[in-house]
Amino acid sequence: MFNSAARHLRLRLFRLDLFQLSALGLAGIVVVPIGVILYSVFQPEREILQHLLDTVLPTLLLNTLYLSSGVLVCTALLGVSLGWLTGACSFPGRRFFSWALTLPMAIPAYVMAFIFIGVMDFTGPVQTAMRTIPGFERSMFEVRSTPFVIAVISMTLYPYVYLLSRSAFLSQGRALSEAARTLGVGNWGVFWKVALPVARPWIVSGLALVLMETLADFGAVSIFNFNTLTTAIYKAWFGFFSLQAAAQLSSLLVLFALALLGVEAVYKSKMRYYANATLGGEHGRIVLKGWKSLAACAFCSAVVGIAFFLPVAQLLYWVVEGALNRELPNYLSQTGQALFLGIGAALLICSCAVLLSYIKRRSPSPINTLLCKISTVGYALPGTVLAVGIFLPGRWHRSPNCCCLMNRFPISMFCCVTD
Amino acid sequence: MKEEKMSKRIISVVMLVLMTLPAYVAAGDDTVVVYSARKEHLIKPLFEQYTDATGVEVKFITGKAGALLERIKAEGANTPADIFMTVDAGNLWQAAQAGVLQSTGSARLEENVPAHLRDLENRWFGLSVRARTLVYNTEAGVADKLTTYEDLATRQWQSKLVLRTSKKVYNQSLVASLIAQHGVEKAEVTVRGWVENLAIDPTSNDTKALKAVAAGIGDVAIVNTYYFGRLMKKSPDLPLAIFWPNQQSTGVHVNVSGAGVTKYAKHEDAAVKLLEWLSGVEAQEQFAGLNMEYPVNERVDLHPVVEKWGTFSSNSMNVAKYGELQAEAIKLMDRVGYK
Repeated sequence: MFNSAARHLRLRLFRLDLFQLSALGLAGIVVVPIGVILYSVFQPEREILQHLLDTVLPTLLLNTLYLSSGVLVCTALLGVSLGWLTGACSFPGRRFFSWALTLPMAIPAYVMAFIFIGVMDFTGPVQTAMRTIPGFERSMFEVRSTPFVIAVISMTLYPYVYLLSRSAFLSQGRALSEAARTLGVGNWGVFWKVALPVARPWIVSGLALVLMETLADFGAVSIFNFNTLTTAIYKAWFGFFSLQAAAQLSSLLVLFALALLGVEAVYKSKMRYYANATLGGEHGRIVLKGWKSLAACAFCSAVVGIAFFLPVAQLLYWVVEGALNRELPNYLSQTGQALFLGIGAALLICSCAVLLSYIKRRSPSPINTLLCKISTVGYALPGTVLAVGIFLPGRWHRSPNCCCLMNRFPISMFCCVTD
Repeated sequence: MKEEKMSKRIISVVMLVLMTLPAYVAAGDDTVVVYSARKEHLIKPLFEQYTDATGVEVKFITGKAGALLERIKAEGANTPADIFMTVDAGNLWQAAQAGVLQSTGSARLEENVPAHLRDLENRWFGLSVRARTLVYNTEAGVADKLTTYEDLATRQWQSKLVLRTSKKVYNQSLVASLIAQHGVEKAEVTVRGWVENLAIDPTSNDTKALKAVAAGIGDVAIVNTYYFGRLMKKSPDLPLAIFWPNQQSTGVHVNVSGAGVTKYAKHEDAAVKLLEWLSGVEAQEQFAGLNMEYPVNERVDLHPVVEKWGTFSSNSMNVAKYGELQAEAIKLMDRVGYK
């Protein structure tokens, strides 16, 4: 038996061709920073960690908890209700809303935060106008507070849940719901007792993505000066100049992201048992009439308006204002660079993705499947964490080769690959 | 067979993409490579001017101070960087401490940059001075009550003070200077008083703090003067004015942006020459003026707007001290709940 295992192994090694090597390489690129971060736990920076634990860490963890649970609730409510309306109901404008509701995804959370603060701050147009109303001269409300951070991040992240739940509702078809109806269940009953439970794997996957993004966010929360765990990582590195302590804090996030990936994988595997899309289409839709169709239309318009058209209008206004007041700085070259980076990253990502799928398709051995899985783990990791994981090894091994590799391989691109 | 062809094609596509990745800044003979945490629009015009005058090409990349420093460390002896340029003495001190900078024996640099604005071992030199001072609302009637940074911790300023986040290194350096002046305990009392007097949660930047004071949310903020300059240039009617604190005692807290030659510089002489030029009369006017800062070189005229803000006596403590006490300062701010 031992012999056959050895032969098997040799056979495997022999078969390790160029494709497997490249899969191995890609997986390695992803695993190294994660491994480095997790390994750092064994050399704790006691003093800094103890200080953080004594002072700010409890608050930061609580903040992170509030933020993630708030965002989860909001994105679940928004995403599922919108997914249900556009996926299973029929009302005027549904076709338009089904794609328009995905638009907020195009605005990064920190841009949204920047616009929101610009408009809603004490000195912004809203509060300034408010103070001209008699009796409100000295009044103000604090925009840098938990509910607003949650609202802003939810606005940019709900499309994850929306897209997945919508496709779940679409793919359910009408067989199940009609069976329920013949048993005397109304529209609400169909939603709560049939559609929602069946769509759970999709919704949970969407929420897992939302949670990963929320935990990974640094930009939006720092614009609000709302301190979360990523703030502590940042502080450890750029304040205390301890990459080591930053790595140890990052390991918390890494473990969490890996756990989330596990949850997502479990639910994803359940999806295949539920999909029976053949009997869908227009006929199965619940037709909303009268005030209900108006309400649906108003709700969708409000979401798209607040989460996309208003912010974009404000951005355009600022651009025009800037252009009129003085010439715009060299945005053109910056836009060019951003485009170049974007296209380059997209090409690189596509090539890697094609390569991986091809490998998986060509020889779907357990090893290859595992390698492919590992290479895609990176998207669950915050950029801050990745940066720490990439910088640390360079510091440990000051050998020339390693350093050449470090600086020849553009790090921004690298982050994109794993994102 | 077909599969093999296909695989070759895929590999060649992948290889092509990998090869077209932007090439790393390569450096020739008449070149200096700068890693800069100072923003591009503030340094690019100067570097272009230098190239025009001398024919020496200046290549630079910009980034966050901590990340650039880590990069130089990682690159070790292979680093293409000849000069590390950054804002805040705290960052410069860290770079020197990490051993990535070398001492520069240049009489011209020593002459141009006053001793308290450079490293004791000449591993880095301040190139512009930024004053972190008080800006108050002229309609609040507080002009004659303002005295010192420390006084802002007293009860009379309750719900009147606006501060930027403690995450910003400028505030870390300010608190470090308080520690150097008064010791940790007394400094902690002051900073705790500040936090208790806050009108609103700390803002994410100096401009937001200034706007809050202009809107009457608070009466006074601690900010760098050039943020005040920029804001007033945009909206000159705001009811804001500068106050120079601690004139009877320690002087206004000043910090520097600066640069040093890296330990493994490939173009050491060219790098020193560039720094000498940057500290000289010709460049200083622009280096400081572009951002409405103060020049380090005392023979240089002030930017006309900056001149109007009046003269002040500044703290003569060596700015390197801020770096030394930065970690201590962050810990202090964490202890008193300064967010």
